Amino acid sequence: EGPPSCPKGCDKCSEYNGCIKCNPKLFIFLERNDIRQIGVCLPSCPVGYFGMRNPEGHNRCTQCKIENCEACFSRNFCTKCKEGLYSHSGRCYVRCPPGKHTANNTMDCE
Amino acid sequence: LAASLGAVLAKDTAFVEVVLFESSSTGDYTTYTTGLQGRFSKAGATISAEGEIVQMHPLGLCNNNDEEDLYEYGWVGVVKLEQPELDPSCLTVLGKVKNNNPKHMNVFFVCLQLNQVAEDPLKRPVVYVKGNDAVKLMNIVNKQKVARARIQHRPPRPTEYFDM
Amino acid sequence: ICLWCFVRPSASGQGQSTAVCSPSCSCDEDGGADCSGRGLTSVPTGLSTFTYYLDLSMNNITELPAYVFKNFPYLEELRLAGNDLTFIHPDALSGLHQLKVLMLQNNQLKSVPSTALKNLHSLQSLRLDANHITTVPDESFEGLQQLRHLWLDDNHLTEVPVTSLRHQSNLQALTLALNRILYIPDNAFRNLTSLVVLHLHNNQIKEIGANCFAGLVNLETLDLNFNNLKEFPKAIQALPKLKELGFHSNDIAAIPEGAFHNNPMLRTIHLYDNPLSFVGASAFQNLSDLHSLMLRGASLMKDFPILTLTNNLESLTLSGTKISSIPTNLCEDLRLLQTLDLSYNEVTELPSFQGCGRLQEISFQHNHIQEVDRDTFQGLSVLRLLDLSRNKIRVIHKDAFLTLTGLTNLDLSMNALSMIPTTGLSSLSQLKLSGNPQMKNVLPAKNLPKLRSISVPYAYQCCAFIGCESAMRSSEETDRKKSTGAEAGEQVSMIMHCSPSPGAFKPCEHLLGNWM
Repeated sequence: EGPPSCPKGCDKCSEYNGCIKCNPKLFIFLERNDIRQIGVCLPSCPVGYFGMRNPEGHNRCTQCKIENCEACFSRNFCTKCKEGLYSHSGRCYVRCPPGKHTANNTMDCE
Repeated sequence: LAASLGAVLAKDTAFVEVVLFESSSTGDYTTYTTGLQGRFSKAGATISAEGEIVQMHPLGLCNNNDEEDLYEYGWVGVVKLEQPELDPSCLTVLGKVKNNNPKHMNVFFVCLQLNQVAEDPLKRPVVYVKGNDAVKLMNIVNKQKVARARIQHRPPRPTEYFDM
Repeated sequence: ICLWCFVRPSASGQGQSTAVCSPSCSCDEDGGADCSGRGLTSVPTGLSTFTYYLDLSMNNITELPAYVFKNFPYLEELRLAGNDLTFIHPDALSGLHQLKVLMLQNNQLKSVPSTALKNLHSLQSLRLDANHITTVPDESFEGLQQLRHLWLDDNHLTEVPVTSLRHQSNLQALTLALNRILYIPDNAFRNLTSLVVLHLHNNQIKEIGANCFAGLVNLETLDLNFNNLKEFPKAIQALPKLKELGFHSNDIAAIPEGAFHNNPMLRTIHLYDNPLSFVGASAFQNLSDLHSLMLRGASLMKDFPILTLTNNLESLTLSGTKISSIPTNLCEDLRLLQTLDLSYNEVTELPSFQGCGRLQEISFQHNHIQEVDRDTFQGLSVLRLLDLSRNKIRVIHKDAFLTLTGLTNLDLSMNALSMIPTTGLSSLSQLKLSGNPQMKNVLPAKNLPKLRSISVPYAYQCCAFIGCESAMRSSEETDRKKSTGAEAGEQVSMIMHCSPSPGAFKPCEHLLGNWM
């Protein structure tokens, strides 16, 4: 564990910035509260973000860039669309794209 | 040398006003202004600017920063620089500023711009605030929900009002 | 004044509730139970049977015994990340018929718990990243017909788990990044006909089979960055739907002719940080979705790439080559071009860019250009930045800059100019002319009303911009406050930088022919 004064899962922190470096394998998420932005360490990233790992261990929560997406595998591939939307090839739709239809009452278009 | 040194300090001095607003139920509001001083860094432009204060985590200055598209009107980014061993390795704007001021221990800097396109020098001011003024600034950031800042390269005139 | 504002998404908090719960957890009325980070060493009891979401992350649960989740028939998401898990009993996950998401990342598993996973028939997302997995038993994912997303990155795999993936026709996203994979055999992903995203970055891949991507008919994103590939991955010819391809930071020396002729839908290609010396002229043809192309340091490349039908290019960087000529009809194909960087080549003549009406930045720094014609930059009203430094330019036609009403930065330093036309440069804020020893005349400041920074061959030429009286006071860069028209209702003071600034030893008066 990091110094006692640091938040959970944090290896190095500072008073105004929160966590600067997380423990291995965790993701740092830059959490915004109005004016303030502090670093927190998470085992998996919050809604709308995905975890990017890199060899130096600077694993980081990065924003999904897909409309109407709650959870994503990478910037452009959604794994969970918002309620009521259909999913196809990692994107979210109001209705299945032409030529596609939902499969065995899931929200996936095939 | 002293004269020219004085001239140099005066020339790149930044006059920072931080304004808090307190509105009453009747709709009128009171402002509380805190005056601070800093130094314009060569990494940015020496011009006036103002906007709502937003703190940025040092990692927020990296190229793959996500928050860039969340912002739609003028703002003043405040970044608490860390000791060398805590510094995140990916530096863009921060890297430029550090190269212009190697002794950055305990330095806070107010940067107005976080455009990730590499510009050289940045078209907006980058200001160093140190010591007590920096602590005052970060305490405001820590406690307030909303605050505005104005940066000028000449002492503020008492009659000036904020562009509300 | 900069123009950004911040709109914060409203936080939807989960208040306390009266649902059945364990003292070690906080539960909401929808069936969600958060027991994360409580120092638990086993799965807590007392939770509702109707729990659909159970977060046990960041505890100290090192083993999962048999039937430990038998009371959760409705569980859809189970999070066990960060528990130092080393053992999962084959019957530990029995009864979880509705489970869709299973998170086992950031644990100490050495192998995929294949038997335990066998009956998770509804499972769609399986996270096994950041463990110590060295082996993936052949039957690992057999029962998982609904599996769509599989994370195996940040483990100790030395080869692609080909056999265990052979039945995964519904799999859409797979990451094997950050492992120790050396080679990709032919038909490695043969049955993954639904795969859309494949990440293989940060491995040690030196070689790939010519047919290693066979069967990936729906693949859109392939990430091979940060490997040791020596040859261009020709196997991509099996990927007709490829949109995003990355192989930057490898050891690839050449991009062959027709490299991407089977990938017409490509939008982005990341290929920087390769020791490229040759690029086939026809490599980037017919890529109508390509928006950006960046090629640096292909030192043996002589021919400008053929870009017919690659007509949606917005940014083209081609530097560090032996290219000496540019097709005169360049702008017939590249009408949407916004940024053109052809610096550090051997170009001798500039074509007319008249058809490229959206160009904002042009750089021909460090080429062999000798003159600029009247039509070269005609009609480029949104051009902001023009860098022609480090060439051999002797003559610039007097109307060359006539229509560049948006130009703010012009760099003509290190050329052979004796004069420059200033008509049309009304928006110019930065002008670089140093390193043109023949240029001795005084520049007309009145034609450059918005100039803020200028570098000139001789100090006396600064007098036209900053006046001589301040010259004697300081020897370093000198500033003079120059007020300009108010901007957005506030008087903005602009600083005028001129270098080399005249000083005690560099008087404004032009005394000698030239002086240092």
